[in-house]
Amino acid sequence: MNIFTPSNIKELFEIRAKHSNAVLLAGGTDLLAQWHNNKSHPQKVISLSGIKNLSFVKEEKNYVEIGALTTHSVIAADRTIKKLLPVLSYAASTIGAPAIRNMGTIGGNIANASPAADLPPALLIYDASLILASQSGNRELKLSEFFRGYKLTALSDNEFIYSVRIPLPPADIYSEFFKIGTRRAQSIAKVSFAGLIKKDKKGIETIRLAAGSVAPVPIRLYETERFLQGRILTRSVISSACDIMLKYLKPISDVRSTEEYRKFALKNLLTRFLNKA
Amino acid sequence: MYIGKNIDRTDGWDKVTGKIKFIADIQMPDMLFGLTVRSPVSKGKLKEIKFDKNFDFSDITVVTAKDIKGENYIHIIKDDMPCLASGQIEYLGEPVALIAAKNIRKAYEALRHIKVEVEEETPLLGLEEIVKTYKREPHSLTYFYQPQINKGNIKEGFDEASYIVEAEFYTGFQEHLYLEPQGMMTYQKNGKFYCVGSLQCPYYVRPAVAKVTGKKEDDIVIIQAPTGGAFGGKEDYPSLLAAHTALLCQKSGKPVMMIYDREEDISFTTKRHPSYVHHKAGVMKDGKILVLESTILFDAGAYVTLSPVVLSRGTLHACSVYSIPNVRITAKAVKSNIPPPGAFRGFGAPQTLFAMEAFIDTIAHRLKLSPYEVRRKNLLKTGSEMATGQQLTEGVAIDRCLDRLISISDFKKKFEIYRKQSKSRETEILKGIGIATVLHGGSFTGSGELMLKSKAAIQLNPDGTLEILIANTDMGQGVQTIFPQIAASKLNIPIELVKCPLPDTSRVPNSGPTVASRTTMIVGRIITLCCDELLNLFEKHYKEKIKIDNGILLLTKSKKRIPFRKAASEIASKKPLYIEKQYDFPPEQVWDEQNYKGTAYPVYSWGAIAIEVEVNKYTFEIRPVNLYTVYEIGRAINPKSAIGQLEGGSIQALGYGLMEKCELKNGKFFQNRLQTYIIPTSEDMPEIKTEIIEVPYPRGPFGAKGLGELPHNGVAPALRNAVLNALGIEINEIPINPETILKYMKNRGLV
Amino acid sequence: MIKRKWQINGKVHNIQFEEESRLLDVLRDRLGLTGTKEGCGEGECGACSVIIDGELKLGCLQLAAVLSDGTDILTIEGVEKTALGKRIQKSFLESNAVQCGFCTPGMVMATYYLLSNNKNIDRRTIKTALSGNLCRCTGYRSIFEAVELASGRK
Repeated sequence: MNIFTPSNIKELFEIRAKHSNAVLLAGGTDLLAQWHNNKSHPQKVISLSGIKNLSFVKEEKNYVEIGALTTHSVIAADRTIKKLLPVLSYAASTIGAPAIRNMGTIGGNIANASPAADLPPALLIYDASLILASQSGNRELKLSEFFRGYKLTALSDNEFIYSVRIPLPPADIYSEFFKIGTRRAQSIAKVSFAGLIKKDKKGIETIRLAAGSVAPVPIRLYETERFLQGRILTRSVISSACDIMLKYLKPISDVRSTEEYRKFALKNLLTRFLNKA
Repeated sequence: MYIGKNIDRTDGWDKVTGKIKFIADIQMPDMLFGLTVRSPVSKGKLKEIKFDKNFDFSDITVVTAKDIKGENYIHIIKDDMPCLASGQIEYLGEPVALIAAKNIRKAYEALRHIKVEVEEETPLLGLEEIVKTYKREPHSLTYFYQPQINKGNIKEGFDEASYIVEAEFYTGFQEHLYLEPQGMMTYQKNGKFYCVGSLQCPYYVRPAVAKVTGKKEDDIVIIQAPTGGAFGGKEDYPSLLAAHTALLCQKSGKPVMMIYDREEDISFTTKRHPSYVHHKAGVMKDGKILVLESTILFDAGAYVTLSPVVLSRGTLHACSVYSIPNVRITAKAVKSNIPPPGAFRGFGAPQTLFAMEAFIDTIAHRLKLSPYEVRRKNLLKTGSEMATGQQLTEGVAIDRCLDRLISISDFKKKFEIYRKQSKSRETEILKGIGIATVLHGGSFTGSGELMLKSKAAIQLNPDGTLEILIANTDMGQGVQTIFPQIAASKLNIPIELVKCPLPDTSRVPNSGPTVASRTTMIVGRIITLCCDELLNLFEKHYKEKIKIDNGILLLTKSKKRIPFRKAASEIASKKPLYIEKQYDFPPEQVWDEQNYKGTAYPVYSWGAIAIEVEVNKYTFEIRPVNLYTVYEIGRAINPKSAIGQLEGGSIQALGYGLMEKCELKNGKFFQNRLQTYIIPTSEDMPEIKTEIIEVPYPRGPFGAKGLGELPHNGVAPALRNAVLNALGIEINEIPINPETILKYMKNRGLV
Repeated sequence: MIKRKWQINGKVHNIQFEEESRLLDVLRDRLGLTGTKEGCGEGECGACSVIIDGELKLGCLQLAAVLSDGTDILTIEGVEKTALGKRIQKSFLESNAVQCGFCTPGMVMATYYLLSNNKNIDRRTIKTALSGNLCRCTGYRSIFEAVELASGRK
C-alpha cells in the first residue's frame, strides 16, 4: 500500500492529479473495517486527516457550514448545531459509540454512501449541499443529488468533499430524527427517519422527509412531501401519505432486518411524526 | 474463614493493567502463523485441493489429511469428526487443509491461492427443514441420540384433564462471543508437543492431540493460557485447534500459532443448538398439570461431538421445576450439514426451559389464570418425584426463590396493571412483566462423575506455600480465587499462602473438565478432602491431634504452637508434599441411562427471574427496564464473584432472548461478524437486582453448589412472558426482536 | 516502511512500520504493548481502545501512517502510572468489574477518558461512555459501579 499524507489542499490536488485511482481516507471508521473484513486493502490511499482547516463549524447569515473532517463528536456537542440544527446534532450522537464518534467524520459518513448512514437523513431534511472542491474550483451540489445508487456518488476522481453547507431552517418548525437500530448503541440503522414540518392555518406550509436503510441510498421522500404540501393533517391524509411513501420505496431484507419490518416501521414513523407535528 | 468473603480476584491486577498475557500476546522465535483451508460447500465429495502453480508455496507449510501420522479424527464422544476432511464433506467451512507462514499476511496471501473443489450433494440445512422433514418422514433423518423419559400413564392423564393445551417453541443459534477469539500455539521440546491456548478442558485436548499426531499422551502437554471468556465455546473446539497447530508444528518443526479472526470464529466454531419443542399438556381448571407429552428436536450439525450429552441435559430439564405425574418426552439430536453446535452455558437446558417456562404462561394465558398461581400449583417441593423418578429429599428452594421474587418485583400488581393497559390507552409505550422459575442440575449428568474419576491435588512446598493442582481452568469465572478461599478456609491458614495456578497437564492431575457447573461443587470438594489428608499427615508427623487456628498449628496434647510455615518446612523439608484425592462418588446416586430413570443430578440449584419491559407500539422495539433475579446456590464462596456470574449469565441470556439473531443462509451464518451478530452493550442494560438464597448442600465445599449455568436458564422465557403480558400475544420463538413481534402480529391479523 | 516519532505513555519512541499497519499492529507487534487487544478488527468491541492526543480512539480503525510525528498516545500500559488510572484500576478490582479480563483494558481506557473529561457523571453518562466496549462476562453493572467508585461518587 502507498499512503499519501498531504498537509494542505494544494498538495492533495497534486497527489490526486498523479494518482487518480487513490482512495480518500478520512476518519477510517468505515474503510479500515472493510479492509479488515476483506483481508485486503487498496494500492493507494490518500489520508485527508493531515490537512489543516478541514474541521470547522461556521455560522453564516443564511447557513451553517461544517468542514468535511469534522467528527461526529464535535457535531453532536457543538452549540451552534444543537441550537440551529438539532436533528443533525442528535443524529450524530446516535452513531456508533464515543470512540467511533471521535474518529468518524461528516465527510466520510457522506462519501461512504452507505444507505444506513445516520447523518444523511438529517442533512436531507435540512436541504444541505456539499461543497466539492477540485483543482478547477469548487462546486455546490445538493446532497439529494449526490447519492447516485448503492455506494455510488457524484464525486468525480479529481474532487473531494470540502464541506457541508446547511441552510438555516425556517422558524417555528417541528423536526425529528428517529433511528431504529440493531440495539441501543454501537448500532447500525435498520430504519432511520427524519422529518421537518411547518404548519399554518391553511395546512402544511413546509414539509421535508427523509429516510435511511430503506433504499439503495439515503433518500428524500419527495412524492410524499408533494402529497402532503398544503394539506390539513387528518387520519386519512396520513394514511394516504404512508401509502404513497411505500409505493416509492423498495426496502430489502438483509442481515439486519426484513423488508416487511422496514415498511411497517417506516410507515409508523411517518404516522408518529405527523401525529406529533 | 474466607467463605462468604468478597476476596479480590487473584489475577485481577494483571488484568486491569493489561499485563496478563493471552495466547495472542505471546511470541516465540521462528513462530509460524497458521490458517485453515475450508470447504466452500455444505456437503459433497472432496475432489481436489488446488494450489495455484503461479504462487510460490516454497516457504508455506501445508498439511492435508495425507500428512496425518496418527488417526484422522478428533476424539470427543464418538470419534466421527475428521481432523481434516479427505473424502466426504459434511459442512460448509469444514477444514480440509492447513497452511502456515512466517506472518499472518503471507498466510492469507497463500490462502487466496488455494481452491477447494467439491462435487456437491444436497445438504440438510436449518431447523425448519428438520422439523418439516420430521413431521413428514421421521425415518429419513439421522439421529445421533434419542433419549426418552416415561413416567406414569399419559393416556390416563389426558382423559382426566379438563383442558388440553398445546404449543410449539423454537430457539435459535447463540454464539458464545467470548471477547477473546479462539487461539492456540503448539511447539516441540525434547520430543514432546506443548499446546498452549485459550481453553476450558486440558484433558480433553491431550488425547485429541495424541491421536492425531500418533504420539503417546505423555508426550503431549497442554497448558492453559489466560482465557478471555469461554462459556462452553472452548470446551470441545480447542481440541480441533490444538490438533491443527500440532500437525503444522509436526510438519514444519517450528512453533505454530493459530488465532481465529472474529469472522472465522463466528462462522465455524460451535454455537448453542437450535431447538424445537412441542408441548402438549393436560391441565385441570385450577392450573394443575396432570400430564405432559413433549417432542424435542435439536439440530446437532454434521458430527456427533457433544450433542448427545447436550440433548440429555436438555431433556432432563424439560419439565422445569414442576412436579407432573404423567410425562412422556421424546428427544432427538438430528444430524444436519452445519458446523457442529456444541457446549454453551446451560448445555441444552436454556432451550428446553425456554419452552417449558413459556408454556406455563401459555397455559395461564389461555386458562385466564395468573402465571404465579399456575407455577405455585405445580412447583416441586421436598419429597416430590421428578420425571425420572428421582426423589427430591432435601433442599428444594424454588418456592422460596419464587416468593421472594414476587415480593421484590411487585409482580402481582404490575402484571394486572400492565395486562389491562395493553388494550385501552393510546400510549407509545406498552409495559409488561414476566417471570420464569428454573433449576439447574449440578455436575455431570447421571453416572458421568463416576466415570470421570476426577483427581485433584494440593502441594505443600517447603516455604509453606500451598498450591492447588487441578485441571480446571479460570476463564473469567474465578477458579483461581475461589479455590484458595476453599483451601485456606478448610485448613484455617492465611489465604496468601495458597496459590491456584492455571493448569499444565504435566503438573496437574485430571480433575475433569471445567463444565457443567461442577468445578466448585465437585473439584472443590476433592480439594477439601486433600486438606483433610494434609491435616492427617501433620497429625502423623507430630503424633498427636492438631487443630489449625489462623495459620498456627495447635498441638492439642503437648499444647505446642507451630506456625504453619514452619510445620510445612518440616513435613516437606526435602521435597514438596503432594497430596492427591479422587472424587468420592456417592453410592446412592444411581442412574439408569437406558431408561432415563434415577438420580440424574445429585443436587439442583434454583432460580426465579422477573423482567419488566417496555415495548414501543410504533416500532416494536423492546426495552428491558428492570431485571430481578433470586438464585439459590447452596453457599456463595465469594459473594461478589457469585453475583458476577449470576448477572453476567443473566445478561448473556437476555441477549439470547432479545437480540442475538443468527440465521443460516445457504449453509452459512448470515450474522457472522461483530457488526452483525448483536450482543447487548452497556446502553441495553436494564437495572439489575440480584439476590442470593443459601441452602447449604451437605456434600458441596462449605455447602456450595453449581451456579455458573443457572442464570442462563430463565431470562429468555421471562422476557417472552413479559411481552405476552404487554401485547397479549404468545410469541413462541427467540430471539424476540421487533421483526419477530411483527411476524406474530401479522399472523394474528393485528397489524 | 514508514518512520514516525511518537510520544507513547510519556516516552518518545522512534518507530518503523509498514504502510498498511494499523496502530493496533504497531503497538502490539512493534512495541510489545499487548495490553491493547484485538477482539473484532472492525471497531465493534472496543478492546483496542487507546487515547490519541487526548481523544478515545480505536487502534484497529486507526491507520498508523496517518498519525504524524509528535502524536501523543496513551495505552493501558501508561494508565497505571497516572493517579486517575490507578484509581480506576483499583475500583475495577474492588467492584469485581473484571472477569475474563479481555475487554478490561479497553474498559479502563474508556473510563479514563470519561473521568478525565467529566466532573459530573451519572449512570446515564457512564452507560453512554462505555457503550463502545463490549463485555460478555459481567453484565456491565459491576463496571458501572467501578466507574462510580473511581469517580468518587460512591
